[in-house]
Amino acid sequence: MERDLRAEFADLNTDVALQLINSKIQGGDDPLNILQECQQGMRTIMERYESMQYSLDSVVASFDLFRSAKATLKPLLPKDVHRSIGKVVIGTVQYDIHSIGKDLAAELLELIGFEVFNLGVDVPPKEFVDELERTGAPILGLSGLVSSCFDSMKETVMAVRKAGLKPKIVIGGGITDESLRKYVEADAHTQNMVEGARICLGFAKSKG
Amino acid sequence: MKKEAMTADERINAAIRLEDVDRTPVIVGTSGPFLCRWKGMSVADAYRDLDKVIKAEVDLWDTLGGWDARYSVVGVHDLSEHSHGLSSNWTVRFLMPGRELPENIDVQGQETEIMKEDDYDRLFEIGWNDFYLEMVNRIHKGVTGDMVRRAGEAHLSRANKVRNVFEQKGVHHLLDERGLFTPIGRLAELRSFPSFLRDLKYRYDTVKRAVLEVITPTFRERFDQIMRGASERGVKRLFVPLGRYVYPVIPRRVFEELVWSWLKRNVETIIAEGITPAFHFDADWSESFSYLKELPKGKCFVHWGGETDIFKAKEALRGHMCIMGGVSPAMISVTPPEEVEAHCRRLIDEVGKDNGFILCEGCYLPATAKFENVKVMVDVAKSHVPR
Repeated sequence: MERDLRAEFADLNTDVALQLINSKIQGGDDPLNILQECQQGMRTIMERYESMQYSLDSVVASFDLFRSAKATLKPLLPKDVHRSIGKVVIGTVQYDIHSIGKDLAAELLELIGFEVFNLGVDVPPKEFVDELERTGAPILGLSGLVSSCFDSMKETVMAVRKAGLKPKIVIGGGITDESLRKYVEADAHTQNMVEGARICLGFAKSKG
Repeated sequence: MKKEAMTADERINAAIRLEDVDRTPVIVGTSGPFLCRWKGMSVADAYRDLDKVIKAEVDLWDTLGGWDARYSVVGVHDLSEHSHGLSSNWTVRFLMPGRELPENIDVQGQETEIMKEDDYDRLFEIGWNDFYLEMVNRIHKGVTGDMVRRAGEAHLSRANKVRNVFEQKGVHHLLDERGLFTPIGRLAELRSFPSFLRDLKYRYDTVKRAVLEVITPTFRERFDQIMRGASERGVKRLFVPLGRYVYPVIPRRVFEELVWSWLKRNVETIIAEGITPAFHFDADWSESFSYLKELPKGKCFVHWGGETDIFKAKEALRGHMCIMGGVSPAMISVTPPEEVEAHCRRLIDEVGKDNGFILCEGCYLPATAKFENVKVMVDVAKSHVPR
């Protein structure tokens, strides 16, 4: 019976999944299609996390599997083709130096098919504006973990709007909640990277 | 304000025991950075001049007419000590206001992977105490065990200085001493969160051996030391914190074997001494409330951080465990006072229903908290009659 790459990926059967990828390459499968199957596997992993079948350790392990898969596929993928479901600019706002959650979220977004522009930490509002203008990204993710992020997030959103840009904005981090979302006038908030990815998928879908 | 029929201590104890109260108890977990900003000073001043912080907190107490207990047993940081972060006993690099950070930006910890995967063998070889020092020296060269001990003593000495000022005012404290962080928490800090998650996935047996066979025995000795004579010292409530490590952030099996087993055993010991465990839980416990139902009814209370929905917590723990919190760091900082007021009334009506609620900010009072919102929280607790 033919093994299903998406299923093996989602089950985190690393050796089997990587062997399958090699078999498919040797069988002449389109590398972009193989990559998409891996991305579908990632989405199944997200669903399993949301339904409590998986904990975060499994999600992080899936990143490792995906990196191995991409390393195999990368030489075969066309350089100028990026079958992306959308672009996301992400960063930790000014005066906040925390990065762990943001980097995990950025990696997850990339693995499920977004093109991600990660600006790092302590990012001033102008840098977010400049990157949104440069990339044309329709989604902006602002990360923060400490209270200094409150006004930084607000100033960033104000700067974005003042520049005439209208991305969908999601704020993320353990300190974010509905109060903060309303204050900064973001479109969504999350304390959970998988939920954040789900929100971005929703944004991408609504854009059409 | 209506006349109160109970003392503050009676009110808090009644709430913990899930008994009727004359009004909702309220706690303000004051922080130096908040106090300094309220007084027009900078956040950095909170770490430079303890006397100014004390004066500001006394002013706040007098201005608001007090609240039901002073929260903190946690020590007070100081810019000179915090160059090592030793007084907090964390192997993270701390960035301080007025030094690495701007004057009005509060302290932040930079979590990095200090312990590498290969270092588990070193831990098994030399044990926790020596290993911890070796790891600290990877980010702060020249640190000795004696320096760690002295930094901890200085930290506590500052906390006691503040405490004594308030005890002389007749104000009692919610928390008397602090318990220990969890063994798994210390290990995970050294590895950094993403690397630790990978350890759980790829080398759980190694992690389990490290936590249960090496770190836990050392932590057990320290815990026993804390408990020795605790009742005689007058300890009534012991601070028991837990960071991220709850199911489903970590797998259920890991939570039960490495976190809950440690926590539950300690809590049972604390309760047997007639002392109340005072939990401080930061992560989302929505899938783990059932564990708290294993603990004796009316003997503990839990201060929720911002990630657990306090209304869901009440539904799960109604009639079993007292809950504290409800006004998130974001809400107390950015929301108009009239909305904070409405929220506090709702908390009292819903989370306070059937007893067992203490109104407080969620997690901590940030530097950005608005005085008006703190005042509203205290005033509502003192005046609102639940529906």
